[in-house]
Amino acid sequence: MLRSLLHYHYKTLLIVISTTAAIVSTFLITALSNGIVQMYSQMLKTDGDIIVMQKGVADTFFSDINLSLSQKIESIKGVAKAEGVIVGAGKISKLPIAGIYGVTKNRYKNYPLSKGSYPEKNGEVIIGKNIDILLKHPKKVTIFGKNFSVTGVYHSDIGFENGAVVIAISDAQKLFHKSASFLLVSLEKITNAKPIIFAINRLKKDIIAKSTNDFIDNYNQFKIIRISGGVIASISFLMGFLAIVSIMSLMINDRAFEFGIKRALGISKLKIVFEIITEVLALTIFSFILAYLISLIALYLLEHIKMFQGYLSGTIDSKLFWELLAGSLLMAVFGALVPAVLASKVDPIELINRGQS
Amino acid sequence: MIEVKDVSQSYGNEEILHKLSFTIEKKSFNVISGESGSGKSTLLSILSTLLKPTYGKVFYDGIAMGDLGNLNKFRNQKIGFIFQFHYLIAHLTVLENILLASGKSRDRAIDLLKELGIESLVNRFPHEISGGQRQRVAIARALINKPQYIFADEPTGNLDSKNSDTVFSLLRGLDATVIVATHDKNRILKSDNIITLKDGYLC
Repeated sequence: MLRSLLHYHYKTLLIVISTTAAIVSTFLITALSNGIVQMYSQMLKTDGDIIVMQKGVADTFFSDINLSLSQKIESIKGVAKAEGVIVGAGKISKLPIAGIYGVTKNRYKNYPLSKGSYPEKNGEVIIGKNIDILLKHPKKVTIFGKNFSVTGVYHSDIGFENGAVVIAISDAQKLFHKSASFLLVSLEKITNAKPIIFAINRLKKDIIAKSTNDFIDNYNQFKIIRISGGVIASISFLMGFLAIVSIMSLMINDRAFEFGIKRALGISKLKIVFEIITEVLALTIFSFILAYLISLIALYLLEHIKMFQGYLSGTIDSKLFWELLAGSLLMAVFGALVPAVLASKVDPIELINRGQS
Repeated sequence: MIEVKDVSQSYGNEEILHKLSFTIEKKSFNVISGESGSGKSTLLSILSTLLKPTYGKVFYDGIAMGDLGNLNKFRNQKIGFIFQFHYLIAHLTVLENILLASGKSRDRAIDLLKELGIESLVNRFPHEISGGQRQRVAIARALINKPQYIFADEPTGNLDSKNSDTVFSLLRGLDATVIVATHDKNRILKSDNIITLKDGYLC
């Protein structure tokens, strides 16, 4: 088998390249979109049990909720604390765009410092380690044209938080003209969530409270990212499938004579189909391993490119690995099946003549 | 024994063979002769079960082609082919080409190569041996399963006279029913039975 693949080395190489490219792009698109969703989910999950935002808005970026509501929420039995957050993005010094988090004072500790200290007063800011590197350890930054003193640098396990700045919520209120984007509520016991969510929702008509898990499952942006990622991955996978069908058709045409001889010698159609599919499966497994290694290297590099400020982060989990392996093998079988069956059906004499011409 | 009864073959509206009937005796050496385009190769394809006749029947030891069951199996076990061109597969060695239709008979393949005087070529590729040697490998491939019937379509068409003599003497010495299609008049005379075709008719 290996010898016949090497004999038709140009077409074999084309199959390997197209299959590898299709699998790499599927790995990367899926891993990166999952990575973005996971990072944001992790941030929300670790920061609170319930999220409260403005009702009827598509995204937390557009949500505007009154920060004073946090005091009423903290008075509900079972609530440990309620903290306000403003999330936004904008030009920071020479960086065209970076994340900006406006937080209440008690949330600063969510951003562990690698150097310096937390802000004490308005006009002070802590910056993520990627911003610190990109701006070459600045003492001051400008946000929307206003100067802020840098008091410290933080390092977060959630990659894209390192590409952001954290400011006092009162400063953020002035910059974004809103009270808070959302409130994060921590509970004394997570099992009490349902009645507390009900109680929060009764406080005001234009707010909505959800457990952070419910929020993540139904968050429109996550759905859009997952669907877009899925569509792009499917298209690239389809391209790989079409490449296998077309190149295999060419290869089978080249080998018409060989299959004709085999048919004339009494080798069954089924055996010929099986032989072709086995060859394509072997190539696909080789391409898959190659694609997996390339994807791991690409994800590592993407995560460490300073320009992306930690926003591009993705891992290939076992579910993605096995699903894509199964998908690739199916793609190979179906991609090879049509040309293989067509080749096996042709009269051996015609195959021999076609191969000789 | 092969019995051919009223066999005709058409491609579209054109009839290539016209109601042929004849008998080929067991273990005889037979020649199908005729000019190019007379229908020799088509008749050989029908006799070797590669082609089903448009009309008429072919019987093998009294059993009609349609009743033989799995034709692949019949071809594999009962029929050996030798083509005008050697038709060896370029990326397989001599031994692998011979074993193509019979993966488990390595010793038999080596014995055949010895009989044909080419045992030293066992691990060579087709492009590494001469035309005469390639045709001998093709003969070894045809004989690997000890077939009852050997079909050869212009087996010496590509060989010089010395190699042609060798191939024909090998074919004549086989313990099988041999049917050779050729237009080489020198070979026709030394056969048990001559089937001569002209424009698809028996002469």
